[in-house]
Amino acid sequence: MRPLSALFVMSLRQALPVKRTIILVLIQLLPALVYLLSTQNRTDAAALESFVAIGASMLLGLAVPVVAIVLGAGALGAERRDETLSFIAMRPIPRFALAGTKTVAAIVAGTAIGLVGALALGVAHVTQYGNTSLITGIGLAVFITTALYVSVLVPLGFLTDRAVLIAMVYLFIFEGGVVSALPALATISPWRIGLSIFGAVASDPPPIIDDLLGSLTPSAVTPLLAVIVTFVVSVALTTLMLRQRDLA
Amino acid sequence: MTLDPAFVPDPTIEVVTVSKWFGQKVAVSGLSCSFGPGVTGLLGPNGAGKTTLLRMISGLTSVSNGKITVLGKNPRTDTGLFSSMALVPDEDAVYGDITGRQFVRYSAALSNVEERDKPEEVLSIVAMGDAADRSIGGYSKGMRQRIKVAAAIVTDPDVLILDEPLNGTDPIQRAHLIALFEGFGEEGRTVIVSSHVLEEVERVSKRVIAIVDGRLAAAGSVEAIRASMHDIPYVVRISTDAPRKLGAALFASSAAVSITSTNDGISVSTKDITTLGKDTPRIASDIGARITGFRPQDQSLESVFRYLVEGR
Amino acid sequence: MTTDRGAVYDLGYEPYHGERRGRKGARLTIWADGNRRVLGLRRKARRKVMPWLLIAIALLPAIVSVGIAFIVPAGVSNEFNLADANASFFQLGGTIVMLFTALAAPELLIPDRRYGVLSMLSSRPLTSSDYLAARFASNITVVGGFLLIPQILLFIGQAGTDPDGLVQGIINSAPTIPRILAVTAIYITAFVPLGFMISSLVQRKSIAASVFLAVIIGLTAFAEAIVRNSVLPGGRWMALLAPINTADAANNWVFGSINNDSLLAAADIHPALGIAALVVIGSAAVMVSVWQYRRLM
Repeated sequence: MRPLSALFVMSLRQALPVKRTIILVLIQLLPALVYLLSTQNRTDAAALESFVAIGASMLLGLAVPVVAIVLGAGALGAERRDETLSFIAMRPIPRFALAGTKTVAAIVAGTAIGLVGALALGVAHVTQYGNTSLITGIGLAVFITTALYVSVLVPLGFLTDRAVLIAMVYLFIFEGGVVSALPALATISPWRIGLSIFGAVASDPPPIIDDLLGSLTPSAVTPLLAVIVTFVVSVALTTLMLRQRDLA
Repeated sequence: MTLDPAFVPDPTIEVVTVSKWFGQKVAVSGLSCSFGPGVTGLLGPNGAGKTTLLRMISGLTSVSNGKITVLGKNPRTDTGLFSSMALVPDEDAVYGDITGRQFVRYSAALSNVEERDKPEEVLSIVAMGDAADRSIGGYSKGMRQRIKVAAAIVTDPDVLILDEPLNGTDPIQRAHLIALFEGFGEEGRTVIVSSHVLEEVERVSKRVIAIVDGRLAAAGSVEAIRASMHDIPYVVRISTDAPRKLGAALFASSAAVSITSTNDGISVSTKDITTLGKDTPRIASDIGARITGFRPQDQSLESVFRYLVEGR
Repeated sequence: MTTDRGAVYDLGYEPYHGERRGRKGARLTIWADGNRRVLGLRRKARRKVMPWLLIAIALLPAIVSVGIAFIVPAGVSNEFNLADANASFFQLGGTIVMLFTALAAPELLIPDRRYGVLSMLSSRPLTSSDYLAARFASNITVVGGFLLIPQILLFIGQAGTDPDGLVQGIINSAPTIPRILAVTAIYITAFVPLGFMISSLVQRKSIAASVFLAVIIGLTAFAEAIVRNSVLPGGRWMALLAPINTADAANNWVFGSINNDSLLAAADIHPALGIAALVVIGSAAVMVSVWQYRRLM
């Protein structure tokens, strides 16, 4: 366990250097700031709707995915491009453990950053309108969204240094445009999958959530299953690539 | 039966008809050799395939054809092997934002090194104790090389692979590292040193594997390799007080192929240095010439290397 | 006997006798290299995938619309009338050009810093301003080309489907050319300097791309929320911080179409003021880049 814990800790450190962490945290705080500024003197129902509209679209649909994409693509991709992959690969650590630890570290780092935004947004709502279940719901949604994006980006980032841009194209064009126009495709929209756990956990979610979810329904089980399956497939794929591809 | 000099008895590393190609480019072609306890120098011009071979031995790069085993196992699939093997790569391969000490401790932790004092010990071995708490990003090239060596030896490997470890090091650092590698070899570890600094490789390793254009060009000790180059005459520089007289007289020796005269001596080309060595004093004595020096010019590794490369 | 030894080796070295193109040549080389780098030209096939994929996505609506317009007879349906489609196509390309800028700017600036090439370039007849100007020109060239190609296709479609014939169609459509160029310049001003500035400050291409997109979209969302929902005094001026919305509003204004739902309209700000804000923000971003590179080179 010592090698894996050392790898985990160092991976966290690599993922979140001070300057980058500050920038990513500031990005996460933006939804809370926007929510605060746009819900002055609103009714509870209108504020709740704003919470979902802003929490969903800004936090889950932009801030959290951006962080997860950057951290996921860099988990192994950065090691490869910095030529330090040989340093961690030539260790008595099974390849699947290496892949799994790197993925988990990126998920933990991304979730930690995302939770700052979720907490800020939740506190901004709770201090004015109550309903603490929103915080739990949005926190879980952040974890689900982060885990899904990271799991996809780790193998992609290992494969190509354009992973971030590919993921951004997916985020803005596919999820932002195509899925909005074709709700049936919501099942392959990571942030909408995250939103569905929010809808299941939060008490009395507003109707707007159904519009955002598209063909998905609020559920606690399905998103968790999606995370487990995606994580396992991601680690398997990354392990295969570590075994098959030249590492230096 | 005498073993081919490319192979050693009781090998630690066996390379069996190994080839590696990248698309159309063949980096290593049908190479067979083995490495055992002690220090082996791996030589070759740029692009010869040395780094590719070392990466295949390290399990970082797959073989396209053939087989490599290290301590009887496949380095590509058996990750347990890495508890006994370490690589000091040619490229930087360090984390710029942590200190040297953190880097070495990280290396020790990744390989589950149990001795807690080991990182401090190796830091003083490579003389990096004073700079260990500085960020690696601020290190010179030589310091980075030493910290990489420290990160490798902290794992106490039985097999140590060093790709151009002397790059960027000053003469004192170089001597220090060479002494370290020699020590490892004497302890019975298998050490492979790839280098272009030929005179240093000559000092640290008795056995040399030379690769040119991806193929095995020569193997064995420097002297033995040179002696086996039958088609390339030796050049011997003989210092004498009567160069022309001695030069004319030496033509009587069957060993002399060609003779060039200068003011203070002659250069003799010979395919039989032993016979020339016997004939020269006798002939000099006969004609009353005094010999002050008899030096083969091309028994050095550099000369051997040059013949191997230019001869193709 | 002398102990000094020396030798002259004639290796057949010949100095370069050709034309020396000086600073101008160096700038042109950096500009051309930048274009090739972004578009993946003279590089492996995989370096071409992303830029040309984005170009294809941008071109697709134009190809489909122009194709249908040629097939559907004139007067059958106004939906395929290309006459007033320029503004729509610019707006459609807004998101994609943002992604293209996120690709281009980091590609132009970061590799030279990351791989230590900047010091080599400093030893050439090239100042930091020359280098930056050439890279900026390259950025403008590729992003401008990205915006213009669908418009050129549209222009051909408009001219070709003109009931008075191709030649007359070109004459009839000619007045749109200055507008197309003007709106292209507006979108370039909205995105390119900001992408350039971020890429001059950030060390990794992926981080630069992410920060650029997050800043653009974050600012837009922030501005939307403040302008439409907040009662903050002076909050309406936040609309000037939203590059996408400003560029879209200016686009509609130039082509004479009215969009009362735009953020600038909601903020009661004239599009010309929006354009001025883009120029000011863009200039500030360029100055930051110049300052950064004066330190580096």
